[in-house]
Order: sequence, then C-alpha cells, then structure tokens
Amino acid sequence: MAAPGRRVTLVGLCGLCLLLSVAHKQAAAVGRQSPVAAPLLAVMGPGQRLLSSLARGVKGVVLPFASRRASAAETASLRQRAGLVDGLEARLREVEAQNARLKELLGSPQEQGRPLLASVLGEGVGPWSRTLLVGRGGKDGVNPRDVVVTRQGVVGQVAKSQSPWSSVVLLLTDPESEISVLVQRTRAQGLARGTGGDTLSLLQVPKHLDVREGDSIVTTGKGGVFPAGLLVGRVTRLHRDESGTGYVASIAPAVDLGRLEEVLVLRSLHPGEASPRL
Amino acid sequence: MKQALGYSLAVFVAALVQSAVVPEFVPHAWAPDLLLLTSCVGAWSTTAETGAALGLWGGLLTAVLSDGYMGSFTFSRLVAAYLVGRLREEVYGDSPVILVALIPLACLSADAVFLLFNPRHYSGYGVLLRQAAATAIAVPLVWFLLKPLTKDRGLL
Repeated sequence: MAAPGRRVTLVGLCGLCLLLSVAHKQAAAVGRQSPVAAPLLAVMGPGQRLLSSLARGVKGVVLPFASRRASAAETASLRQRAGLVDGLEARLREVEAQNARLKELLGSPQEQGRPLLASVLGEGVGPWSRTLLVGRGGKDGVNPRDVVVTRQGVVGQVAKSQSPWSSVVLLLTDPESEISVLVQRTRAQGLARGTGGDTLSLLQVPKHLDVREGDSIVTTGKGGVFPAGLLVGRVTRLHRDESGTGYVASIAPAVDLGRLEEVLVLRSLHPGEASPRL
Repeated sequence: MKQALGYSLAVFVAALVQSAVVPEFVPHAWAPDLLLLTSCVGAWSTTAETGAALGLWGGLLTAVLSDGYMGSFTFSRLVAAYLVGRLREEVYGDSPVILVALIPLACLSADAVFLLFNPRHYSGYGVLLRQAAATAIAVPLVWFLLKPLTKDRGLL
C-alpha cells in the first residue's frame, strides 16, 4: 500500500488532470482554446521548426541513395504526366478566372481571403487523433476553422489550438472531422467522417445511389467551412453498413497527408468559432 | 528533484522529436509513443509519483498537439506511468531489461483508459498493437539516451 503522503500526491495529480480537463472544456464551450495551449505551442514552435528542417535535411541526403533505382522509373512516369498536368493547370486557371468573373457579376461574396503558404512543422501524437502543426498562427491572421489545402485537394481545417506563430490543423482523417461531400459523377451527397487511420468514411450511402469505386468526392460547400468543389479524395471500397440498409464508402484522401511539407491556409474573411472537442 | 526536472525536460524534447522528426521517417501507424515511453522510463528510474507527474506532463503536451482530449490524455498517461513506477517498486526490482516487456503493457493500459472516455475512437486492436510494438522497439534507444539521468539512482 502507498504511504499517506504518496497517496496525497497521487490524488493531487488526479485533481490537476480534472482541473485541466474542466478548464479545457469550459474554454471549448465558448469557442476558445485551452489556456495552456498557446504558451506551450509558442515554446515548442522554434524547436519544432529547427528539428523539422534538420530531419528533412537528413532525409534528403539519406533517401536519394536508398531509392535511386525506384526513382528512375518514377521520373519517367512523372515526366509523362507533367505534360498532362500543365494542360490541366492552364484549363483550371481559365475556369478559375471565369468563376471569379461570374461571382463578381452575381454579387456573390468571396468566402476566403488570400491564401497563405504555411510550412508543416510537425504532426500530432498517438493513434487517436490526426493533426498537423503549421508555422502560421494568430499573428498571420489565421483563425480557427480556416480551410487548409494543397494543389491536390483538401487537407483539413485550423483547430482551436494556436499560438501567434503556429496553429494545429485538424486533418480530414481525424475521427472528429466531418465534412459535407458529394460524389462528383452522380452529385449524390453525404457526410464523410475521418476514421483516425489513413481514410475517411462516407456514411449511410443509400442502396439506390450509384456510387462506385474510383468516384471522385468533392466538398458541397454546406456547413460554411469548406468552399464547394474542393477535391476530398476517391472512393476505394464499398461495403455494407452495420444495419444492412445501405453502404459505407471508404475514401482515400486526394492529398498524401503523411508527406506534407507546405500547405495553403485559406483565411476566412468571417472567422467563426470552432466546434468544441471534448 | 534535479532528476525529476531532467526527466521533465526529456519529455518535452520527446514531444518535439515525436512531432517534428518521427513523421519524417516512420509512417503514422508505426510511430512509437516517445512521450509515454520517456515518462515510463522516468517512472522506472525515480518513483511512481514522479512517474505519474511525468505522465501528466506528457499527456498535457500530447493533448496540446492533438487539439483536445485534455482530461483523457493526461489521466491515461498518468495511470500508465504510475503503474510502471509501482511495478518496479513492488514486483520487478531494478532490472531495466524488464522495461522492454513492460512498455507495451503501459501503452495498452494508457490506450484502454483513453478509450474508456472516448469509446467511439476504437478502430481495431491492430492500431494499438502496432504502436505498442513500435514503442517497445524504441526502449533501448531511449534508455541509452536517458542513461545520464538514470545513473543518479545507481540503476546502471
């Protein structure tokens, strides 16, 4: 049995856990971040920046030797695709310009401000959450719920925890992440939720809806966080849901979330409050 | 006290390495939990109560990097590190070799406590076992790096 003094220490530590949890939940309830988050992120930021660039430097030296043979074939294939991408990019720019003109004509308000390039400083810890830490924070005008993307598609959204110089980004694959999406081919809509692994799940797809493996999934724009038409990923697998009334579709994100070095933060012109996480 | 502060700093460095270095070389599913591992090494080398405090500190850093689950992370890690410290005092004595076998159990205990509060996050035991195994593999390296701190107790 533990001595009384030791027991008091242990009870005190458990009490501190409870206190931290209550403070965090109260802050989340009013849309604020935990009071300890900002100072800790601010202190960790410079160290993460340094270690992250060191690690990438080492990786850049070590990996080319290890994968030289594999990369020769990859280079040939990538060169072939580069031409195709150039064409698509030109077409995309044209469509974007046309879209901006039409929006202006319709008087539709622009939802996002100027995109901001942010370097990825690190990842979250443990199997229970999928987060990133990026080197842009409150001082750069980044707010909770700002959308984070790359050229390939959606990455996630800025979470509550941030310091003036860095922010935590909740990835699409985090179990707390939910996003309103549609199947681009059929326009069938649904809700995609992160699984905590490397995929998302499109939940409760009715049997009569035509969803197939390989279908592209894009955002609907509902919910006021993600703008419409951003690529989320592709359907990789369909399986019956537990109730047997429909299907669950597994979606592989369009962005390789494990290999991000830079992302774009689409700053919202109307920053809102983040939904609380327990 | 000096030793406890040393381990607190080690847990902080583990958080930096875990978030900035490990993802560059190891896939997320196979990443060891260096924060819990460092807390448990601290618990093994000091006292169960110091271990509990280190677990709490590691849980706090984990929660900040994960944007949530403050109570679940701090409490689950406190329990796991405390158990490791108690086991060393009560059962196994001072042999650090046992730590390699004990760390996966500490990981699984922390996961079990976390899932008790967040059951909907359970997505199969494969994830838990992978992380426990990866953390066990990292024990010798972390133990070696923290050797200067453990020497105070004459364990090595």
